[in-house]
Amino acid sequence: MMKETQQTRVVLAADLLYEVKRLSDRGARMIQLGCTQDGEVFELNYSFDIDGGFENIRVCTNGNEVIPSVSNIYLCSFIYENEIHDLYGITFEGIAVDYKGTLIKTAKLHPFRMDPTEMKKTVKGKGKLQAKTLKEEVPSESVPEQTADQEIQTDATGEVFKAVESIEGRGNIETVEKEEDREDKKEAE
Amino acid sequence: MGKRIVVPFGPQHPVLPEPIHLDLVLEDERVIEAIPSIGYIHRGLESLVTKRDYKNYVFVAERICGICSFIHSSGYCQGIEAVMEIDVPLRAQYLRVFWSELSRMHSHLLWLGCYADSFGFENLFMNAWRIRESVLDIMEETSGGRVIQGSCKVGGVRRDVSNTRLREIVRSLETIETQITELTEVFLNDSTVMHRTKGVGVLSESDAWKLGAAGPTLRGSGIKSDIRTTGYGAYEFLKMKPVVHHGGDCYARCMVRADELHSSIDLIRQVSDQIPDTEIEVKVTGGPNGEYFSRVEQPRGEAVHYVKGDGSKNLVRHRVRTPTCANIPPLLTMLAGCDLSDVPVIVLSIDPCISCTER
Repeated sequence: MMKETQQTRVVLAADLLYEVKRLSDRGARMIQLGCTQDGEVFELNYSFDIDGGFENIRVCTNGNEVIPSVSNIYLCSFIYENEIHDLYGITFEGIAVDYKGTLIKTAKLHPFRMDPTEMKKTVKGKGKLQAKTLKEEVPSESVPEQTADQEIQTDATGEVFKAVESIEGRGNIETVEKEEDREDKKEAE
Repeated sequence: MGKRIVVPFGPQHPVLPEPIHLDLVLEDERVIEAIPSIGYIHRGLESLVTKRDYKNYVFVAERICGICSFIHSSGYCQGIEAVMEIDVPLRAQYLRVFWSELSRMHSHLLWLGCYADSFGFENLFMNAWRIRESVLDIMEETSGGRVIQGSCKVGGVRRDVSNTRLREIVRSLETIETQITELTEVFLNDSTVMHRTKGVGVLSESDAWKLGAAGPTLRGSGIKSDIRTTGYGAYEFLKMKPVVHHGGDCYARCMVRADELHSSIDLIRQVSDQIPDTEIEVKVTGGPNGEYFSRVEQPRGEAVHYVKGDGSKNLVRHRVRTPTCANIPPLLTMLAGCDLSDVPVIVLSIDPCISCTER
């Protein structure tokens, strides 16, 4: 199988604009900007296509640092920067078209931003245990009032949705477990 | 200067197959600005990757979209296979191209139907979907599923299609090709259709580049960019040229898709002629450790599946950048300055897939 050669360079947030400008001058096309949370580190991947080749620039941040927007070099990046802001809560400075948190409507603020300790549990695949943990940890006062529509959106956060279901008496953890077991059985079949 | 008003367009609108909301700032009947908001059908599929075995997750990846489902699963598998350095048997790679091109055909025919519906040509809509049924029948017969096939897996494919059957399918595609030619003739030459699409929603070549457009939206603006030409999978062994038109309007985007229907049939013919007799899968053990950006050409354009694993059965991250997400900034540019009555046609012209965009 032909495997594409992919270069990833880690750069500092302070050098980001310089590096992106250099790629722009070389005629690179911006493919995407994505975010990955790895524990306490948020990796921002800026991917480019240069004459069919793939090049990636990575900025690692703690999530609270303000990242310069590259939308003045690549205008298309504004959609990704707004998306990352809404889902992860990372702030970009100087976005050409800034929707100020209204691009993606979510019931929970920054739903993809996870507590690093909780994240480790998830990675180990302890979905059921995590749901129980969250049930204990999420205080009932902090649960926002939700409509049926919002529930679907909250589902994006996985366990929080299940915990909220349990607290509000519209389901319980056992039900969730049974459903998961059924899914597992189906998959095994 | 007329009075400015804001007209909400969507999330529920007859012309929208899936929910996206646009706040249209109007001055009289002219759109000054369009402000998008999404998040109505976010399903958190990317999040599931941390809880599902990476091999079983193929079924989830396939459900990212109900139209280009197969290409999502093959894009995901390609990413995992690159990380694990798995040599996928050639026959499996050819079969992936076969199903991918059938997916492209059914997606484009679905789009042609929806597009006709957007300017009120219902008969044309029904005709496009009638032809699409024949393509879906082939998919059902060869994979067991009309839209969700479940035939792709890490390390190859689950089902084989005999060489004899492939040749029969190619013969049946000749009839479908004739029907497609008749259908696209109306889209490209009928005066009422041209009146609604020519010179509407123009995206210049420089804007398409600057705004990061993808797929037929990019190629309709004269930029020759098709990830299949990079030679992923069996495309490495097949001859194809990206379909490019230069108008930059809705009509040019329609022409790109109409021509791509023929190029897909041609690719299936080449698959039938060249497919080697090898195994269709290899055994995969262990877990992926590393990362890869897997790029595939979907009916709507380039999709990127980023996979990152730590050696365990669950991936750390799976992020999908879909073509519709890339086409939102160009769409906003196309809408600025258009008439309100052209908004449905322009929105449809990028072939929006919001399920993909939100995952």
